Amino acid sequence: MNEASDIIDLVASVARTIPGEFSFNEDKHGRVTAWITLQNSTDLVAAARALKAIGARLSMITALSDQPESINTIAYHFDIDGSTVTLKVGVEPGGSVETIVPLFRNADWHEREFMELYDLHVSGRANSRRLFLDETIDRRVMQRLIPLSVLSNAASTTMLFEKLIVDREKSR
Amino acid sequence: MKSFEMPVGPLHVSLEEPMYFRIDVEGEEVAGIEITAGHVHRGIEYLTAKRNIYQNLALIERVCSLCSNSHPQAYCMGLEKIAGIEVPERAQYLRVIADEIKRAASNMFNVAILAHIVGFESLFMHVMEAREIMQDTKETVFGNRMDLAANVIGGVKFDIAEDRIAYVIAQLNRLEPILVKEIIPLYETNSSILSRTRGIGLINRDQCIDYGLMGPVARGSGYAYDVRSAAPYAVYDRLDVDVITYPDGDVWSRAMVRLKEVVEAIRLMRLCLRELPEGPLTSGPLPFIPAGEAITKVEAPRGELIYYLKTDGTDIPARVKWRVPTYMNWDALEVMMVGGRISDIPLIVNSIDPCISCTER
Repeated sequence: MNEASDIIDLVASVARTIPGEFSFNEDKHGRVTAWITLQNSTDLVAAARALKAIGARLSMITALSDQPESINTIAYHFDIDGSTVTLKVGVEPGGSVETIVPLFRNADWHEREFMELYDLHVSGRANSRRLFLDETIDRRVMQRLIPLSVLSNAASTTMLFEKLIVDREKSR
Repeated sequence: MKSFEMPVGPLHVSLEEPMYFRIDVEGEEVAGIEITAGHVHRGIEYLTAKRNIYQNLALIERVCSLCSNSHPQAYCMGLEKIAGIEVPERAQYLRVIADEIKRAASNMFNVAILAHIVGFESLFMHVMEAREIMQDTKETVFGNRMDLAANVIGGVKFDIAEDRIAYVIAQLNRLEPILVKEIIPLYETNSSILSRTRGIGLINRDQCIDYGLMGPVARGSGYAYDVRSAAPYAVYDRLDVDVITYPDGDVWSRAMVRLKEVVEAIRLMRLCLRELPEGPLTSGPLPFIPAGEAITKVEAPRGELIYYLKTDGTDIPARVKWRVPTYMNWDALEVMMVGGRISDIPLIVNSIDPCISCTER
């Protein structure tokens, strides 16, 4: 098991080689949480390869900030002996990042999932078959859906009530 | 040799939840497998951004029934990290007890199903009956047999008073001998169990690492990673968790890891009940959660559960994302199944302790 200071040194050595921001903190159990935000998304594979070389395994990939005008962020979470390193890249809506499946086999499902739930693409993949959603369903479909609970709560009841009032006024 | 394609699922007698497998078969042997998921995709991650952080506690507990305590625990830990909340010691111990009681019941359910698939119905009934001791304990302590609602942000909302401690210990005293003297020896020596589970569904340690596997599946292949010791949370660092491993990477090894982990869960619960300190159950009233982000991990019954949380200072989270251990296990089925017999498919699928509602959310 690596000490926290060893993990910090190892991750810092990766962060130094790639343009971007680096920060970290250590919890009371001596486990490190490190964040590397890459300046260029094109450095993703090089950074992932460097993390693999220091013993990182891929834990999870998160896509976030899904607003039409803003930059999407993809966060790649890695584990090194219980410590966590998150590699963040910014991607334009409709933009693309390179696959890391050749480095981390378990990235396959994560990439397929964020491709279908966000308007993001991954280049270099052999097979981009949908993971959960059917091929006939548009990407980013979740962002256009309204939960049933919202449709059926008091707000929609008020709207319905107002519509009925207006319709009644018109019919007079 | 005749080759053909065999569909299994999405609704199938050997699957508890819907998943579709297209299996290429050559004679009696599995030659390839393609998995089609998405039958119970509920958009829960999306829903978390439509609910406030307190409502999400109830929503997240309903992702999955068997590891329902692990989700709110990881979620609360994330918010506590962002807000800098110190969870009182008593609550930390109680969190471990809730965690371990769920692990015991979940693991026993899986090994019981193994006996059912083998056709050893009396063993299936025996394990399920023993598991009822844990179910009854949960009902008595938490008021519920599956969703415990044990966690709140900053602590727990249940307590175990002195008389209840005696009751829980008595329940553990009932379960442990059944497990150690009857159930485990049966799984270790019975020829029906051994002939159907030894050398079946093989995956080695390196393949586990390559596929990112965690939990009893990886530990059954000798990969000794357990979040409770690798990245301790609550008071696991004081409990000296015994990480159970088996070297062979077959269906039997995975079942044995789960059974031995129930024994370890009993030990951990006893330890927590003995050491349970006095003190408050929560850090105080409903806290304000500032803007921030955090990553937390817990050892769910099936392995590492990881949460990422991002908040923006409002009471609606900007993003809640999680990955359950079953998520990687599906992909590894191609390693475990190819070269195996058709009749072993249900056993191999069960050996990853599949949870589809967890995987798809």
